[in-house]
Amino acid sequence: MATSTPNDIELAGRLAAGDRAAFEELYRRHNRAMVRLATAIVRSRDTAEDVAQDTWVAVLRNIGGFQGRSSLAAWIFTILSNAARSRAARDGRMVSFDSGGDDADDGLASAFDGRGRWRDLPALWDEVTPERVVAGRSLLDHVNRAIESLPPSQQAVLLLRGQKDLEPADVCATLGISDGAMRVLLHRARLAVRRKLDAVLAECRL
Amino acid sequence: MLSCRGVAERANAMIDGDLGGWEAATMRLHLLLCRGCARFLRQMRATQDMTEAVASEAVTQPEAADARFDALLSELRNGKPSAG
Ligand SMILES: [Zn+2]
Repeated sequence: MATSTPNDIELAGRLAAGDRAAFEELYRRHNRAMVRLATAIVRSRDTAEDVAQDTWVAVLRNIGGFQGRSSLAAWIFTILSNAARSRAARDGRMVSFDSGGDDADDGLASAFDGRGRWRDLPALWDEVTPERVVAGRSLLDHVNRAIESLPPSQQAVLLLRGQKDLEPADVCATLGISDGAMRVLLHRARLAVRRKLDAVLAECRL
Repeated sequence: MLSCRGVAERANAMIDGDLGGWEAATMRLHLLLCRGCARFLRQMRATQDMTEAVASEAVTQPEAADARFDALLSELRNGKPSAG
């Protein structure tokens, strides 16, 4: 796991002293991703914004106890994911990050024959760029929607793995899952997004 | 010999650079010889690039100023442990 950098310790110290600029820097760096992760868990943008805000309050109250055993980002995202899960539980939904990888079919099995060869040749994805518009939306927007339709555990892994401040081990620690479980979730998530993109692109080839 | 299915199952590990030298070389050989897998890997790379773009786009908030931020700032002032 990435331990804290001198920069983290310094930021935490400034935050504990009530430094506005330190808080603003952290907020700008993480708040959007926090709201997004919380949205995946609580399934409501408004509730997610409440959860993110509560997380910041908890961060400000407890920053004195930050000991740098993990990175500051990992510490904040762990508070957030626990808060979001508690909130979902209060609303009657248990969100487990350990599922959503093992039970679901990865959608690949049917693509191969008994000897493990492609039944149908995968499509040639030509000119696949984020900006390209297909069926009225950019491909990036299609990807965004595909991600939003994934199970919370897969969304959480995809989102956290995209954070520059988090190492893969931080992602496991934040969600309380093993490295193997994280890899399975990431694999399933990317395959699901690929499948949706492939369907969108196939439609425009017709 | 690695099957196409085996290649597809290792595609993400390959993209993330998690394969060992021997396994990565076996993959590269298969990709040179198999059009289907070469296409699949291209699809997965494009998918990975765009998912990462979506995930990291969520990172930086252009400006912090909003009502919630202001509320938090007052928390920062009131709650700071080392007042004074
Ligand atoms: Zn192949």
